[in-house]
Amino acid sequence: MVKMLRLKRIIGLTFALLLLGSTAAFADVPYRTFSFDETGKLFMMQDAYLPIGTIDGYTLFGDGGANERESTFSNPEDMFIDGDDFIYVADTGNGRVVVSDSWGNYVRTVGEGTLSRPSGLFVTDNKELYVADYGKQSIFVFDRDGKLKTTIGKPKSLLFGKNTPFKPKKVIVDKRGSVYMIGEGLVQGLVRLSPEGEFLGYFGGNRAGFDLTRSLQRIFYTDAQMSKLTRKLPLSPTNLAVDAEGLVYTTTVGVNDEAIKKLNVAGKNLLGNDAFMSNQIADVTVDRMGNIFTVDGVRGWIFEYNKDGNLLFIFGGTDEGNQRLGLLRTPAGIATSSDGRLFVLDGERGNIQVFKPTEFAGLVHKAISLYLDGKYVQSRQPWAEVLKLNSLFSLAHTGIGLAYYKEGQYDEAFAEFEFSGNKKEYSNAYWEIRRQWIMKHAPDIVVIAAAAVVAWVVLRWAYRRFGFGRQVVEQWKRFVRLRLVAQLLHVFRMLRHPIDGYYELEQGGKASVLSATILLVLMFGVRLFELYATSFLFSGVDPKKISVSTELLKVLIPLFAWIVSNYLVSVINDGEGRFKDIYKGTIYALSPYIMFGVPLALLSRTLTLMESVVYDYAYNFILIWCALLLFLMVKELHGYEMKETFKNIALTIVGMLIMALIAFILFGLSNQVWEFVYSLFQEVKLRAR
Amino acid sequence: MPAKSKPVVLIALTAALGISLFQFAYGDNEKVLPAEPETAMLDEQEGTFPYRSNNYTMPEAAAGTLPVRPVPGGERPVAESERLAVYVSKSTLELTIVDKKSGYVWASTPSEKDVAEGQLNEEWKTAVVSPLLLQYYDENSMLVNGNYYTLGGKVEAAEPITGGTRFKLAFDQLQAGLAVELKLDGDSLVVTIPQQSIWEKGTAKLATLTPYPFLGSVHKADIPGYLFIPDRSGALIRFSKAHSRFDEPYVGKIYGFDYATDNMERYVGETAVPVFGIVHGVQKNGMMGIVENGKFNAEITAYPSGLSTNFYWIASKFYVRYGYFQPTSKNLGGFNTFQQEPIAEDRSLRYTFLSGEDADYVGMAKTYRGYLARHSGFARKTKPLPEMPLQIEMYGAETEPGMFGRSTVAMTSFDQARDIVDRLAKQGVKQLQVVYRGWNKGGLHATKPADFPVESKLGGERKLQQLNEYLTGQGVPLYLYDDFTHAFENTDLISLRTEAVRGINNEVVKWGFFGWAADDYFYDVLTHYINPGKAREIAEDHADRFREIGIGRMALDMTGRTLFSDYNADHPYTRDQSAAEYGKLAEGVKGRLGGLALYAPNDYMWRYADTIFHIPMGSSQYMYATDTVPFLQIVLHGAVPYFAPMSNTNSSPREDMLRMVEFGAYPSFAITAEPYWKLKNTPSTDLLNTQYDELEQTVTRRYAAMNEALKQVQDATIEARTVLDYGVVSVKYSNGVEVVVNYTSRSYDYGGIQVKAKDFAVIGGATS
Repeated sequence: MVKMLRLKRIIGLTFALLLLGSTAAFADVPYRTFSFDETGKLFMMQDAYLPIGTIDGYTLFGDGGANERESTFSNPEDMFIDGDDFIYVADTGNGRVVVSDSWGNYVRTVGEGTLSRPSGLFVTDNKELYVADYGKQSIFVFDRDGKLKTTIGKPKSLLFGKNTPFKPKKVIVDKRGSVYMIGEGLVQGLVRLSPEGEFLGYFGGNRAGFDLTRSLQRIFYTDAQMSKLTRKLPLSPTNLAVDAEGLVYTTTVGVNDEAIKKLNVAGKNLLGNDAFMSNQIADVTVDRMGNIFTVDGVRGWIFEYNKDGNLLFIFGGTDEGNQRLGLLRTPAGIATSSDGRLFVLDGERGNIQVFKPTEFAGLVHKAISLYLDGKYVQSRQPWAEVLKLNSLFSLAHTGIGLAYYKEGQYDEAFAEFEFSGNKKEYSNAYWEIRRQWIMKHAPDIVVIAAAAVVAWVVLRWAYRRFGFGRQVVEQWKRFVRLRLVAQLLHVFRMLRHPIDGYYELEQGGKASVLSATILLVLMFGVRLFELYATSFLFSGVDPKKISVSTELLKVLIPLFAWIVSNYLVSVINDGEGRFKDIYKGTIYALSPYIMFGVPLALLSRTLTLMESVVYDYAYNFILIWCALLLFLMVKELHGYEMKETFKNIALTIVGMLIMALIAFILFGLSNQVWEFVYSLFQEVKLRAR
Repeated sequence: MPAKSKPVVLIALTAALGISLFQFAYGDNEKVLPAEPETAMLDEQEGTFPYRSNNYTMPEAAAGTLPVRPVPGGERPVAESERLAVYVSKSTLELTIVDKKSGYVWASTPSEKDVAEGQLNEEWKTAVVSPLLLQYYDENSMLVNGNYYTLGGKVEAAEPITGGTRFKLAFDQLQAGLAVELKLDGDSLVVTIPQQSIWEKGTAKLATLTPYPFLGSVHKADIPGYLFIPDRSGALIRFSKAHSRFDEPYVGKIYGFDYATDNMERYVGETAVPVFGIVHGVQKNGMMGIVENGKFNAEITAYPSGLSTNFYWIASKFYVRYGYFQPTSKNLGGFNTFQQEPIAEDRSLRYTFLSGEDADYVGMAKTYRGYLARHSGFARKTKPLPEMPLQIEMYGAETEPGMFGRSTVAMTSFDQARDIVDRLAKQGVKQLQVVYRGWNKGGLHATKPADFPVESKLGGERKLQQLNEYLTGQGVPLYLYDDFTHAFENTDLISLRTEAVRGINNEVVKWGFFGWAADDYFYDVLTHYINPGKAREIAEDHADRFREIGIGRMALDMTGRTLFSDYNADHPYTRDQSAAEYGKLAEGVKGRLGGLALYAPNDYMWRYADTIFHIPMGSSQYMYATDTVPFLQIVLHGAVPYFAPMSNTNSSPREDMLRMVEFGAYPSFAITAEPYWKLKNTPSTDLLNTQYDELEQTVTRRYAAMNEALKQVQDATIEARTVLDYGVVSVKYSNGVEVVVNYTSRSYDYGGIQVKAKDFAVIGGATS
């Protein structure tokens, strides 16, 4: 859900840029750079990368001599930059690999004549070039001079299977010389081959996603029926990369979760699943600092994550015909050079766009590398500079917060974490602050508590012995006996003696419609207080975004649906309760919430994540208590037995669902009718003109 | 402890914690201020690569001798002036223009050899030699391309008029016709298609007209040079033999997108001037087109070679009718159709011929400056200030969602604004231009247009008055920010049903104003456009109110740069009527107040602007464009002071500063007194940081650096701009000052003067 919303937001952003042009004060690049903070909110940034030019066939070969076919890239599908910043492009359509330096100077062409459709390539530290060619169904290995060294064909191992296709699309080689390959139609994962080309096994495959229909089928279908269904297969990874430590990265098109995986030797994913990832990733690369870059093959967005998978920047966009530098048509590959430039290969355009990190991005990278090494204190200076440029950068707030935390300045750390919305660190800082507070104030608390106890004992003694304060007590007792007050205070009785409470409620006039309505208003007040006051560690909503009227509807609609539905069901089922009683009973059933909602919200503010269990249990306890009271209400008011009560409640819920359905249909229908009338009116008006 | 007192203690405890929590949240949020000086990131490795991109201008290679086309024999000039001789073929209307000063010959069609060998399809083969390209709607409302030849065009009559000849054309296949008038005006040739000469008898209806598309066109790179396109600050498309393939030509709708008329999905660029040009041999021969009549409904189109033909060509496409989609239901049902009545206006194009030193984009800009002075009374001279001016954009109040409706965040009260001005003065920054945004009740984006009363959280009208008096006493002009283009649904100033602009399909034009970064809360805020007549009413009313409280200046956003039609039958406006109305609006405001600043205005508004803010500082960087040039800046420098967009969002502060120095644009900053994070939940989240305390150092340091170069040239015009090497530019001003800017990571030796890496040098003038 959240991810869809984010997607919608980014698309909106791209569209707005088109409409508004440069009204906002950004530079003249055709895209904006932004990110999501730790609460999932989009925030704007300075440009992190600026396009500084393109490299294509014409820049490499010039205009002299070469004919059209040779001097342009034809649907290139992959690109690699080696340790010395040489760019290798798999010029797929032309069946060759073109090598240049990172400033667009041609070096050589490799594999002309040998290669058919090279679609993936990799260069090892000792400059051996591995090319995955699915046309020739082989992996070709070239030495540093571009001479063919070996050819790896389909493994003969029985484990690989005789009928399994071997169509290499992408290839990488790890430190030990093992070859990892993505092959067309190999859903088991990456094919791992020894340096000699022997099959070692599959690695890092995806799991088939959860499917509700399938799960139901599994429960209800017979084995015979199951066997007739086509097997749901996991998606095959689409691209891969390897970093300096030998960790393998895979990306998969078409999945929303784990679209990027960082796999350790055991094939375990080391990245969290919180960050926003595109589901159309064309390629992935990792720079020397461990930052992960991906490019979206359809929407043209470029993403940068740090090595823990925190999203740093999103920028870029699709070239929909206006052909502005920096926009991409069909990005196929992404790579970085040692000086931090970003190269994006565009398949349809047949060129490489070069992006340069800005001073801002340089600062962020500097801070990030210190931060990820745990040098929080040293990272404060660069983070502070980042904040000077962009004060809403949430990662910077977290970074500075950690520095403060490290130095024991918990109050400052707390403020930073609260700002950045980092729940874990916020909770840690709060824990420290609370500890300090308790240490400091423990004697005071004990003294005050003792004083209170003593005062209470003395007062009680004085009252009993001398009638001290009798008037106050008398007043209080008289007040409590007032009809309305007594009715309101019936809430307490509901808590302690629910069964008697309901009896009195129905028969004894211990509650009235007025008192119930007051309680309803009170309950809504408690709800608002809860929304507003609950610590953000435990509440999922931002108080700023709460609309009172929506909240009111959210409370009233289900409540009245329940009351009406229960009344209708009970009338048919010989229930004794009157409508008025059900109304009162339902609201009085929510007494636990009215009583404890406020204290719980306040309590939440004193807790850290470590004590979250306290909050959760308390909250659930209140809910269960309310449910129990509702149950008792139905039973007592209508004079039902257990079984009837269950039936009644089940029917009430069905009734509520039917009401929802009817409302939905009515709403939809009226919309349709309106739409029809509008179209008719428009047609008549326009044709008559 | 008795059991009953436990909750009491607990509640007290929580309350205390709650209070301390509140303290953390709203207490001081002080940050460490880094003391490191602004350093530039140098990359020795990069060489010239980044500066070859189309974000910069390339150095010029000396052009050799250019071949001169022969004047077709047997033709007599139909018109002749001291400078030009114009030959026209009576049957094909082919034009040949001889620039008598240089002897260079310009032709409206490519050479026969190039056409024959061009591997053109049938349509283009005739199009390249046509004097006129046409588009029309057939009986099925389909847009069809045609030209003089494919539509059976012929010259029916040629009659002399003063200064030239009128040719009456008929197109058999369309059963339509029009007249083309060719007239000489000094060093210019004016081509006119009068509206009353157009006749249509068939079912086909004219859509667009493109006169003399291939005038001055170049085959591949046979002649060195470039096309000039008026994209933002200006851009060039250099002729080259080999380049990547492009999908679409450059299209720049003059004065930008028309929200009431144009298709939202089509990007038509930002074009503030109706000018285009071709250079044959840099500083040898140039031709510049100025669209005159009909410019409000015209596009400039430029084709690089390789796209449809092997020619580089540029032309102006006039609209006679706009096509549009007429929805009939809310769910995308509807049909395509077009305007029944043609747009009633003459259409004319002025070709001015340049030679020698003037034959480049600098010469074109200078020529256009002279043209504006002669034709639209834009003859102005900046009054120099003792130091360079700096724009401070104060953000007053902004709106924020809350549990009980919206609330107002006060960012800079009027007293705080005064304090900031004082602090800047103490740092030596005295020449300020202060714009105050978000002065209205509820804050900047609470509603649009801004409306009285003045927000009380900022101090109210009285404090604003005091601020104004104080600043005036200090010699600092104070502008109040306004915009008479957008109207939000909650405005009381206009009736959205009757006074909001209606589109060509009669629907009220509206779209989500905060479609992007802002919260869900602002996602649904729709903006409408205000009918220009109504806009003028509101503007004059506002100006009166300003005057009542003594404010003497208005900073007007959007209205100077957004141009649209209104198809509301009760008070329709065409684009040129809208432009005229905005002119009167500006005049009205100026008459009442005395001072008016405009944000990135189109050129028809320049004459009303005392100051220009947010001038475009680059081009769109289209792939086919090879260079970015400061055309607008060359036209405007010395006439109207102009400021770059706010520097808060600069990602490479150093390079952006160099760009400002090179383009002669003064810096600008958005400033608030309160910390920027207070805007976190408001729609103004794209400013990144605005707090004065954090920016003071940046502002003053930037000011000091730039002042050195720009204070001396405030009233001088830009006379020459030379690219010395990739990434090194010299700009020469009329008062003899030369500013050399070096973007590269290596220092540059300019005749003995070392221009440091990523730095600039000022030669001549008072300080050196």
